[in-house]
Amino acid sequence: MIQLTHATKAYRHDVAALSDISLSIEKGEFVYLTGSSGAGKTTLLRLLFRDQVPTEGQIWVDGQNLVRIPAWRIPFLRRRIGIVFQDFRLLERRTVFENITFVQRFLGTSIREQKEKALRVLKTVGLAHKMHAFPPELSGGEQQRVAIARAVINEPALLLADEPTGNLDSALSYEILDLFRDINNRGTTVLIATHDTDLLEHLPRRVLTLERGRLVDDRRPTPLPLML
Amino acid sequence: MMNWIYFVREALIGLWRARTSTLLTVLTIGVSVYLLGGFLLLSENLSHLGDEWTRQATVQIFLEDGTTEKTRQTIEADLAADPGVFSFRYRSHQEALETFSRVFDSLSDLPDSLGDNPFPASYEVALRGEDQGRSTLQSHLERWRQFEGVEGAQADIAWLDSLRNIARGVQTAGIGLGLLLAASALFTVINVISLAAHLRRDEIEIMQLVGATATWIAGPYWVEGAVQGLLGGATGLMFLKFSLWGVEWAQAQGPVFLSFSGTLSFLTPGATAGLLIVSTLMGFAGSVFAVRHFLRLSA
Repeated sequence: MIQLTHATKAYRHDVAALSDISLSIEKGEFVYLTGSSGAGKTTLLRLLFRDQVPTEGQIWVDGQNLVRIPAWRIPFLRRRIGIVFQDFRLLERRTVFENITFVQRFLGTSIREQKEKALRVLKTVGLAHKMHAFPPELSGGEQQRVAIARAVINEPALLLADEPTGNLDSALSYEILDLFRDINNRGTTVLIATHDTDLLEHLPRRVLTLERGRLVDDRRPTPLPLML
Repeated sequence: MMNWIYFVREALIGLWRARTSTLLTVLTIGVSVYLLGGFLLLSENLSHLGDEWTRQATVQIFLEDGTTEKTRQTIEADLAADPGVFSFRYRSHQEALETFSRVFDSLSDLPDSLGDNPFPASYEVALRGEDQGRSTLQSHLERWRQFEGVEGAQADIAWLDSLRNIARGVQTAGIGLGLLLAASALFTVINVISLAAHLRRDEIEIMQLVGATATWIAGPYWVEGAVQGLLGGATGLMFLKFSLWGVEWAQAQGPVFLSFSGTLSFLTPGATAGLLIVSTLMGFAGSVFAVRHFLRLSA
């Protein structure tokens, strides 16, 4: 699903946000990307949804070379990727329904089908009763669940989340994490950038650790001992 | 189809949200269209006025002193046989003098001081409608000047030529000024749409992240620009029509020299539609440029 080969991203004055990253994530995996602030987590995610281009190396996502992808293809790539941000990034002047069906609208999906899909994903995140509310009327946890609903309504192949629980308390964070697990169980590859170690313990999965722009650890959870 | 419904709905919401800047843009375009249309209207009416006065112009054929009755009969026979001549009237030496004395009362003793009656006998010829064009008139004058016993032939059309030249000048100046104003209106549209896009940059960024194409993002702005152009054009033309009514009203109330109300006319349907199309395209082009520039910067 994701393949990075010696990917480097440097800004002006040769300050490298990411240096020589090579990694591979298989389809259907659930992976954490962790590291302290400034380690390069967000930069890596931005490279994966082609918000930025690496200065060196190659990046492949869902079979597409992101270094060579033409600009007009980028929207189509992003429709295969669900993105969740720490600050939710919802359209405040649109209802929950309009927010999550936005992509569906320009895909030409009928209103009836949009409603069916919206209801289904909102039920998944437990917000079916808030379909006609506006984001400012919702709590932080509810807004993040709307953002997740928006990210998954299109049944993406890949779900990227950048500190999705950063603005939430522990209980809500675990709820959100459980949602990601459910989405992953349905076959979507999930990559969550977080510096919250509690999450890693709550749901142990593969962990990639960045430090000053370098990949310093790629750890898979130890399988539980077989109970005889 | 769904795309266009979405574009139009979003554009109308956007226009309503930014009512003040929308009004400013519509008025700026309106002023350009008003002035451009005004100059076209003025030049068109001056041109029509010239045509009308040319049609009303009569030709004077002046006879040499001592023209014989036989020569006159020949001239009259030719005029009567000319299909281009509507009517003609002979004006004798004496009649010309009397007319001068009547029209210029204060100069009535001038001919006496000159001795002999200086006014030649003449024919006053009115041409038929279809033969009153500028070129036809010239060819008639050329022919009649060749007649035996004719000293000269003239129609006071030189000043009508001047009037046409003025009309052409007004038209050229109007187009020049109109282009300048159109450029300023275009600049206003670009700035207003850029500002609107800037104010909604968060929304645009989110749209880009969820996979909206450039067309989907830009569509509502294109419609916004086109609607502003159309409204601006309609506003300018509406005020132009009001102005024409005002002039007609002033003519009805005013002095005799303004009494040519019958010749005043509004722009032709083609010119009206043309101005509306141009103003709409101007708004559209401005928004296309502004959004493309904005998306390029935000990419």
